[in-house]
Amino acid sequence: MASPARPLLEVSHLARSFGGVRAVVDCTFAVPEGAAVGLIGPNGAGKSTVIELISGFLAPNAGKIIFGGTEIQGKAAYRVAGLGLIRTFQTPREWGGLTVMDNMLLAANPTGRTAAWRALFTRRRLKAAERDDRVRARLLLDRFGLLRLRDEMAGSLSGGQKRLLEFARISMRAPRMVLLDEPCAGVNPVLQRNIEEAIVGLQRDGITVLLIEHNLPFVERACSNVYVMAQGETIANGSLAELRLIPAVVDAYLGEVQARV
Amino acid sequence: MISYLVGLLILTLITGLLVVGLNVRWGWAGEFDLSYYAYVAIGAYVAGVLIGGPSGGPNPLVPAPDGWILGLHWPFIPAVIVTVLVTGLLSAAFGAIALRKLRGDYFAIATLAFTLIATYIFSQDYTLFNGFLGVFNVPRPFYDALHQPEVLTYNFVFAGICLVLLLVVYFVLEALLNSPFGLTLRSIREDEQASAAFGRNVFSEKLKAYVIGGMVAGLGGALYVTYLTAWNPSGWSAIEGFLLFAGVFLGGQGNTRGVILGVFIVTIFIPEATRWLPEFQNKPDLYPALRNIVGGLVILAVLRWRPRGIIPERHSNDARIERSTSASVPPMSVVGADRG
Repeated sequence: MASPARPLLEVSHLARSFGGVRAVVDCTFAVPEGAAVGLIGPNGAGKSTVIELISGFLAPNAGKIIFGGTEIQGKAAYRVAGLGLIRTFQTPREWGGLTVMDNMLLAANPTGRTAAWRALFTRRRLKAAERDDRVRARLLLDRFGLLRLRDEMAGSLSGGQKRLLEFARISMRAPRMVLLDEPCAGVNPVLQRNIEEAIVGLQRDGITVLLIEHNLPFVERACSNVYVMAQGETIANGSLAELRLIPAVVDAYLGEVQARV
Repeated sequence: MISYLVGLLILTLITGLLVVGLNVRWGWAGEFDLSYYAYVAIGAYVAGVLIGGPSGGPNPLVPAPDGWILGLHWPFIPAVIVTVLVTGLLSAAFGAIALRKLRGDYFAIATLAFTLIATYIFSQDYTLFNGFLGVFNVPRPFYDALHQPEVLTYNFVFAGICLVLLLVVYFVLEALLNSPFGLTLRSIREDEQASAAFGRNVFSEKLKAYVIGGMVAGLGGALYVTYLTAWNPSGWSAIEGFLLFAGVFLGGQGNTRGVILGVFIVTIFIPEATRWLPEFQNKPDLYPALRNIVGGLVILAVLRWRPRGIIPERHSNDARIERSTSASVPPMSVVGADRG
């Protein structure tokens, strides 16, 4: 099967159009197991569409996605998640009408628990599993400073707390890989530090990360390898220091960002 | 007076049973389902033709060939089981089509279409369930086995049957609600994309909720038809369905006990309690209008001051759970010692 050097996620020649709009034209990149890889590019480059395609929320028109040795392109989102590939959304997507703790319990791996008949015939086992989940969830909520809010509705949290809950949920799930879609969008500097620590924490737990982000210093600290997308194509990769020397990258994105700074 | 109260009790129990089924579909899974009462009606028809005798053949009142199908004289229990299976299967068939692609408003429109089609077929077709005349002479459960008791005595027995069935349904649904399955359904109600992102098969979970709701509807319909001994299209207009919705709103969407209380208030308490309203001479229309106004005011008041219902959805309280378990699990008692 897969040689040890084979990356955990391989995306090759991915393409997707919406009517006449070609959102992703030719996207190719790889993420080694345990790494944190960045994906940057101007607005409209197709980065978020790539996340939708990998996570199964959209089916690609062409191309291949291999995760852990299995082809997953076109698979339903819940199957992709079941393989251990979890995504986030640009805005936090908490279950607002449920408590913070219930959000955590839902994030735990559901395998072999959610069947309706189990609720009637294996209650004792479910309760035992839930007790263990609660203990773990309390530790994680404590780590993210959310423990005292555990019985509040998740929808009543502040924007920053919702971001942290997102990371707490991912830690609760402990997937093989996570796709982070702009975790720092609209986030103040203090909270950015927290999120950075959270990403480091995920990596320490052995979770592979693909990070889409516009905050370049943040990307530089978090990721050793960064891919650049422009107009639906991956045009370059390397460390951010290397990318700054490539004229095409500067033209497409970095120049624009640096001019703004 | 007693027989009047027992009658009210039976209606309360049956509508309570109906509303908890709607609560599974709408309160838990969040599907705004306008076809719920059609499943109740189908349950009533199916139970009616299974329990009742054959129709009297060509009906002299209408130029149609026939009355209703079947008429098998089945005993109550197997007939109810088959009825529940039929409405469950029908829910599965319709849900498999409508729930796969349609969301929110679009799903609601599809269920409205289902209801209208069902209403049209059942009221116009005189070969299936006897059109507007409906199914009648449906025997009441265990009536002969009890040696044909007096009406009042029998109604006590019937209320007991309803109560037992309601309790069984209630405890089964509470077990489901408080399980990972129930939590998954509620997460789908809150944000189904997030549920999919965390590995839930949203379509199949919604379909399960839809089928469970349909089965409860069928059970309620079977009880209804055996209580009334007849069922026809005038008995299930859109209004009945909306009263159930009002009950869910009022009682507390998602809370099984709440919706039973809510539907009791809407369908029993308000109509009965407004009987004392004064009648005005020379204004015969004012009294019924006042009753509706009072009902509307009560609903508005609840929505204004208790927008999540009289008994809102319950959520497990982890701080309390931790306190109750930390004694028995010493090593973990340090976790959360910083509880504020």
